[in-house]
Amino acid sequence: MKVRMTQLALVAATVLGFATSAYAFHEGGVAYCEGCHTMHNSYAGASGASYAATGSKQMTVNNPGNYISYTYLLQGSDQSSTCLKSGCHANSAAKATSKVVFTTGLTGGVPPASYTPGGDFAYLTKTYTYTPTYSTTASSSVGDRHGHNVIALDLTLAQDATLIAAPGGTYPRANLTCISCHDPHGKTRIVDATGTMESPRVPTDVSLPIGASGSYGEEPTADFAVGVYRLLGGIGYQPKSLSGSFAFAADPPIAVAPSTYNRVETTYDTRVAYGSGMSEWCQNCHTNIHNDTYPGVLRHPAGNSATLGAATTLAGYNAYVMSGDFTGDVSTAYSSLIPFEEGTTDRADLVLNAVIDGSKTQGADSNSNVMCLTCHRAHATGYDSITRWENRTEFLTVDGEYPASDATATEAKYGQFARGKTKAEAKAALYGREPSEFAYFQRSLCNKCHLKD
Amino acid sequence: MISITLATALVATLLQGAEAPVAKVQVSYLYDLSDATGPIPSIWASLAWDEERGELYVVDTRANEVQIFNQKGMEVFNFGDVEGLTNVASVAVLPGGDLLALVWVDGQSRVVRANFRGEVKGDWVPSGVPEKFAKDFLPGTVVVAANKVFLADKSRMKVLVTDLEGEVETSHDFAEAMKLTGKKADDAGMSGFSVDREGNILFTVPTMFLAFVVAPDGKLDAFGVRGSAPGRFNIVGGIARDEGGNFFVTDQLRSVVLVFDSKFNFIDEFGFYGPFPGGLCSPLDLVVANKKVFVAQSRERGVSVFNVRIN
Repeated sequence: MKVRMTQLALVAATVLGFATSAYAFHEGGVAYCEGCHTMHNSYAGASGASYAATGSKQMTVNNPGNYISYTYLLQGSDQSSTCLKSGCHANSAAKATSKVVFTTGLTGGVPPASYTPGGDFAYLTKTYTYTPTYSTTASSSVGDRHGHNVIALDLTLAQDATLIAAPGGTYPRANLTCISCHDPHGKTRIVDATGTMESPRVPTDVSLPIGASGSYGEEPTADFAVGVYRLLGGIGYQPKSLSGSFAFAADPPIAVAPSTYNRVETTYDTRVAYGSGMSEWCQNCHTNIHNDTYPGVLRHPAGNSATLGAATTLAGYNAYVMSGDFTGDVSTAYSSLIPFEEGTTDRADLVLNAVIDGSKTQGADSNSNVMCLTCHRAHATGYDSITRWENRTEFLTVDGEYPASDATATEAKYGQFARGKTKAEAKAALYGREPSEFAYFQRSLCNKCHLKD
Repeated sequence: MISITLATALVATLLQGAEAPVAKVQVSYLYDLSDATGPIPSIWASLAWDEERGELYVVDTRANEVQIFNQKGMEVFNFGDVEGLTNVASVAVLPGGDLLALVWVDGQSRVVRANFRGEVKGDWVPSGVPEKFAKDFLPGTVVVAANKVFLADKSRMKVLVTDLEGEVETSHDFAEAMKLTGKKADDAGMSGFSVDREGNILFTVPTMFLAFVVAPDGKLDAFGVRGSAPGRFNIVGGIARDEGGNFFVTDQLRSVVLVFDSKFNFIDEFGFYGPFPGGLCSPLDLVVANKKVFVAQSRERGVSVFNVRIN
């Protein structure tokens, strides 16, 4: 039978015309209200008491006891479950540029499929179990340790089983959801080319309306502002569902991402151009971890003033290629596995570096600084403590391959190196990079700056 | 030749909101799919109906299991994680009872043919695949209907249609056909996908708040209005069609199943949020057969079954 391709072009034009506004959900600011909320909470006219008592069909109920309340007239069962719907920010298979941050339906041995710079929350569901060669007792890299433990009951994501508050801070685990970091109403906006941010709240505040997302480099004009990076909460932000004094003290960072960002990095890195302010923003919750005055404060430097400097770390970052090879050049020194802030709030400059085609590989300069995301991802990773690479073992590669339960070399199969991952999982956790990108026995990527290997 | 009824369909849909529905849906909750120990939990399982035997196949990817349920909603068999049949993402039942199972191996998908016990008979490989589909086509869903096999890459909105032996008959690139480019293409993607008994392809695109019906001759219709009120799409999910030609569409956020007649007029909707028997928790995939609606949900609610009668 003859194979034919259907021709839908004429229909396409009509569909597009109808659906033009359909893509404008967040667009840098607050979406249309009924996208997440119900106005009258009276399903088909049946308003009234809770389901448990009368079975009435309201969309939301107030804490009936057996399950989490979803007040605030949210249609979803809780805040994160509202965001993590299939087709929105969750899906069974992510694809390049999509906004999926949670891969559903994963089986053992299959890695999460989302490769956003922030990471795939599905790693919270992946517990890797292994037995070291020097022991008969199995150990685990528990999923709970792999990311920010956002609560999403519809996806069986529960609060952190161990930490009762943010490390270095007091933000309670019972209130950690997507909206702990991301302002669902996107009030904070960038109002000028220098990155000035405003968050109008009180009735007398005035600012520009948000006209577009600011995550990809679009600039504000005299008529409209752009949203801050990733709709992160700004100064004064605190979810209504969180009682106490947790209002943010720092505005979101200045950063620009390429519009195509959910992709494996086998060939080229996904370079998010971080400018300034990331660590200061993380400090909103991780109060006592931020530090840019080392050695005055004995914590690893991270912050606007924690520049790599002209001393060893800057030269080291630009020279480091892999374990044992420090012959690199600044022109090709950049690695998205160990990113840095460029020390600028000039988004017009940053957008030039936000690429996925390998055209911008220049390393750090004296203005570049270490930030929290130099070593961690924001959402989740395949490793404990949300690090970007494995920090609980000596080697990232063994005998030229990823240590894995199904590796070829005997030593590469050692439990203490493989830590319960298959080859596919080990590669996915490093965003699709081939082991040949690293040394035959590659050590921790802390050495990208510290050159101890 | 493509006849365009989209504009008519859209106008009809928009006008429908101003008219009172002429038919109502009578719904009663029956049970959740269970085994001898009770309801079987799952999150967003995928469903497939065996028309000949009146049995439902449920693919629970987290449990790495394919479960088979009889007409009383009891599990009668299951298989999974066997050689050649690991990481099953989707199954479809061939005439005669054999299965086509789509499995993931090292990040690639392939289809195997197996009997109903999950015993692999061999690979099922489509032939005559257009070059455009030779790469950048990663199907995750397989459906058998109208004596054809449909392989769908929902993320890329591509569908390959073959005969039962795998000879390609038609291919669709809906993203290209709809001229979806840039961020619109990136944000698009199918959520629900099914094929009705006449071979019409049904799918939903949540970011467009639309459901689409593509006839075998390529004629495309779309319906749906964005909103949170009854009859409107918020985060639209699965789509299926009953023997009478009525469309059933799930809304994940509103936790309801919407019912439209064959002309896309909204009839009624049923369901409400609740992680308890009779409630729905973010329903996604669904199957409609023999006046029953099987709905897969999240929050470990598994698959709920409703008796549905449209007046």
